[in-house]
Amino acid sequence: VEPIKVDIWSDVQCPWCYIGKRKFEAAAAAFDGEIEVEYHSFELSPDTPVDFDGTPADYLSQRKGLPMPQVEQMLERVTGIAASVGLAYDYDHMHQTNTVKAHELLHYAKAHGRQLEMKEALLKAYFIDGGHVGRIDDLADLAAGLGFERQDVVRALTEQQYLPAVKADVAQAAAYGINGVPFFVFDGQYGVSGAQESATFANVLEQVRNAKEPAA
Amino acid sequence: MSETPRLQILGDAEVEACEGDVCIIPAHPEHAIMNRRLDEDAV
Repeated sequence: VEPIKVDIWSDVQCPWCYIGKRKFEAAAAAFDGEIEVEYHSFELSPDTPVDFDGTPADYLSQRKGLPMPQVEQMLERVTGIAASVGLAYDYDHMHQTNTVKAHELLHYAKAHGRQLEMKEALLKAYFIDGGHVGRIDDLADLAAGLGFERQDVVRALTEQQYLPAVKADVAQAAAYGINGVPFFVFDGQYGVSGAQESATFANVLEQVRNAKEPAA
Repeated sequence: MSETPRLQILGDAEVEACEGDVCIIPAHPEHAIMNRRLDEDAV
């Protein structure tokens, strides 16, 4: 039986993407079939400057004109939900930035057969460790920490080697009609939007398997 | 690129996600769909 292919559109600065990742992973771990996961790029805010000087709270307040107490309340809620799946979001130390280079790095890692590892590392760096995921040097350091060849990472990101792959993912999302992330596509036929509960992902996996294997 | 099939949508339709640069934040028991409200002026 072929594995269930799960294509996941996601952005590195998307709090629900990391939470949804954990919930999907819990369902996948409990599923007794084969699953093949591939991440795809989605830029929620492609016009964000790489060197935005501030946290996501500053960004939301300045960009959307929201009162800071309201922003802080929103982020506090997200932080609480993240904690419920074991993720210690640290909004005080996050660096709001442009994520296109992080997406290029994800494609670089995919070309080296290590995309899933890089995806987790980038999300952790941004949401938990206060890392900068927009600058080439910081991304190269992160990649080197995972054992990639730093100079080659710098070269690939500087030359924008994987930018066409990022743009192709974004175009594919548009073709599917994907407006938000995380978005999960199962076997190229079924779409699931958002950070669903693990039980929901588990039900979807069963449904997709049943559709693949008609009852004898 | 081959023709993109229409997806059959599964799962809970009312769930947290990010659209644009502000994300949908649940405020129990109702959802505060911040982005849609905030972006009305930009639509």
